[in-house]
Amino acid sequence: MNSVETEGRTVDDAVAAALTQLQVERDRVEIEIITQASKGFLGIGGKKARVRVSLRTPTVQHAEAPSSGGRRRDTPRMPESRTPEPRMLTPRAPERVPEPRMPTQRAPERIPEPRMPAPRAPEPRMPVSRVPEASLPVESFEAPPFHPEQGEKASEILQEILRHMEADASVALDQRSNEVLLTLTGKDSAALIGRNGQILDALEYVLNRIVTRSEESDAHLTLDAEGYRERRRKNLENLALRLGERAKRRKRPVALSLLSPRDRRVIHLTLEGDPLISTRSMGRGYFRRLYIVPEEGPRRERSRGGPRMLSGDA
Amino acid sequence: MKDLVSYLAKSLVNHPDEVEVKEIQGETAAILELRVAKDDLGRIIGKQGRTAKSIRTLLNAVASRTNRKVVLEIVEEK
Repeated sequence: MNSVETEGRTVDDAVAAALTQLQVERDRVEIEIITQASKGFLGIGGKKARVRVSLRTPTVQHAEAPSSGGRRRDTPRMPESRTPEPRMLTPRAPERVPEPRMPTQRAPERIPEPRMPAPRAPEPRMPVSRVPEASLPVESFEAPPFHPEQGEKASEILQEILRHMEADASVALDQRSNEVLLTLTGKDSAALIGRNGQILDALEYVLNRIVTRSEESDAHLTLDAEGYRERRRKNLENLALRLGERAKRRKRPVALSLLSPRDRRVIHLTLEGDPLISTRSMGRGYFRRLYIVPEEGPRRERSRGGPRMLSGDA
Repeated sequence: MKDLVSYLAKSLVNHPDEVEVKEIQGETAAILELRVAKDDLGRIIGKQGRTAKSIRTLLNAVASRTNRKVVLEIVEEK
């Protein structure tokens, strides 16, 4: 019969075993889970996962294996655990729902060829040539000009928010030609940074939203407390340099963990001057991720070819 | 905390007078129900839910300082 029953430590293992037996790909079969694996207690009394895998009739080729339990299991193994989360009960908001097409990136450091999850027009074509790199519109960094009264207004709104938060902190406004810097001082200023600057970022974001009242423009004004932004920048620079060295040593792209646009920018700028590596961001929205890519050595100049990095080729 | 949400919401939307926040005290956590005008929903949620997320972050910051728990529900009117 075109059907086998297998066991494994996990459903995935069981399915894999079955596929080897049947010598087919996963998209050609129907998978039925008979028992889910259970861990048992202290390694005793665990149950193995049991599945029945049957060949699908080749006449009707479903584009998608509908609900193969096995497949579903390995999709959402996203960098969830690496995402800094506050200790408190942050309701996992629906915005976190992974975009469906993300490749399963388990260990970002090892990804040899950054696949484009959703190819957008500009990125995939990025030339490897060295010259235009600095001018690559990787992200739009520059904020449009900011009106002086907006700074005052922002400062007032921030104070109002702080009052509602019952936080003991005051706001210093530093308005320069095209940037507005608000600094928190006072007893609670350190507490308002939050883990990984979370609270600071949230305040800043909401403030920008209120002041500009537009969805499109981003980050006009910067909010800082206790020199956090500067500290963070230094850390990121160190990280960039370290991972840059690693990329050169391994002759492979190195992926960074998920960073905010602002943080990615620091990495881009730090490594901009290094001719041996380049940086690019791939992925979309929340999942946008930065890669440090080693350039090919001068002895093996290639006239064409995009960001293609087969292992052993570089 | 109710005031905070109410203030933030009113500052973000186009129809501040339609902002409504209701606090429901649960056993372990308080639930804040936020209602806004239908066409303001996007402003509250934001691109990729960023605004909503930020509001929640601020809310949690306040709540955790006083050892409370709070959940923000953005209620969509039918």
